[in-house]
Amino acid sequence: MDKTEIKEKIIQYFKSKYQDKIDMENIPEDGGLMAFLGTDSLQSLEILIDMESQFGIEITDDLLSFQLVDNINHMTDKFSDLLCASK
Amino acid sequence: MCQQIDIEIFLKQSSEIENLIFSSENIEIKKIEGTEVASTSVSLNSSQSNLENFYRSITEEKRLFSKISMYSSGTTKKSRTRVFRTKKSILNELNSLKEKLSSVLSTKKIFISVTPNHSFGLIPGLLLSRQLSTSVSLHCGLKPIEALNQIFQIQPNVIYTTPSHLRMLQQWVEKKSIAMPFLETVIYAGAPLHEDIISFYHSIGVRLVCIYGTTQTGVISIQLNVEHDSPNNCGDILPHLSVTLSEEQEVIVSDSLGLIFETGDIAKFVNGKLIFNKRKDCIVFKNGNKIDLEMLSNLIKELLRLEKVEVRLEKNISGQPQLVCTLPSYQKQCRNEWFPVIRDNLPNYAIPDLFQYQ
Repeated sequence: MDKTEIKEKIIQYFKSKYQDKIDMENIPEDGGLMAFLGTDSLQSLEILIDMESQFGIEITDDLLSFQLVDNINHMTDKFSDLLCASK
Repeated sequence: MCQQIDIEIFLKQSSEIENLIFSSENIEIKKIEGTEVASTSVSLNSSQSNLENFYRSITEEKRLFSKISMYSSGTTKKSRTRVFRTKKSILNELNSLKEKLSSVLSTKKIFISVTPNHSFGLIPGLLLSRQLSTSVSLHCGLKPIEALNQIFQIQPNVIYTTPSHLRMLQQWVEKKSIAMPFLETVIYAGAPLHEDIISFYHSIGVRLVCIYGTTQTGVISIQLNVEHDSPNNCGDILPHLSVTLSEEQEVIVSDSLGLIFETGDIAKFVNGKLIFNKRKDCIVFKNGNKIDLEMLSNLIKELLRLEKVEVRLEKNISGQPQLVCTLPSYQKQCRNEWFPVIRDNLPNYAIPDLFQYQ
């Protein structure tokens, strides 16, 4: 899966989960996701856990960071790295 | 004279918080807008012999009757209530806490994880930790997910935190099947824990200590061993306070300085322990955060200029609490206009998880 596909899959995930709450046309890709969605930290952790099963990856403790739940571009890069490493 | 400080910025530069708190000046603790909160933990290690000398020296009245003020968390992102305490009341609380928590904290590696809104309740815990241990770290920020990362790096024996952070840690550890052999005790304050959280921490051999209090009074009571069948047991009243129950069973606290505070909590005493029952008002707890449902409904009504809004707390299919907001049906079509208004004015924990229309 290349980065474009990964990013598209991430965006699709958010669209299906939050489209009842907010119009997802302007979803920010470069930071500010939590504020845009109005999610709290507990929900952001649930998102990460969902992402693990969506992509079949394992997010370890040392990777936990605010950017990983707030920035789609950062998520894309990290998930891409994890997918490459697992090959 | 009043010295205004941002406690996180201060702690990044110096761990010697005692000199600041017990100076003879009045102090206003205020977050400086736009400053980045700590994303990594700050080490607050101390030299215990120096601290012993320090506390022996702070007996002058001028120091102890000067005041410290802080802001309790508000209903909206901008609202804050300013709360005052004398430094003597902080010192009294510190001494009472020391009596109760000495064996829990002494010589342990301590990690304190809080959000900036909890700073007032944090101070005595932070001072006490420095008195009893030479290894203390603080993570104070709006990004608690980074605190999780720090917990696994630091591997503390004791974590001092809020119920919402505890829930996060539980979810992560359970989902990932991670062991935390280093963790012995968790001290939490804020709201009664759900039974499933208590059972989880007991199952991994962690002792839970509950601290009950308010921003205005500081810690009121401590339960040193929280049991899963009595999550509302707030334990023994601290010796420097006097607590009575009003006719309607509201907890009334008077401190050694004669100040009286009505908590709004309905409780009872059983065998000398304070057992929390419910709130007198419409406040509910969601993952440890206090939310006044009536105030929240009115606020959304005001923000969206609507005649009728109802917010209630329900459980979702996983049994987790969620806020459900009912709006008039015509709001469904224009959610892109009103949702950002709610999002930009309410703290994230108070934003409804689900909107219904009728």
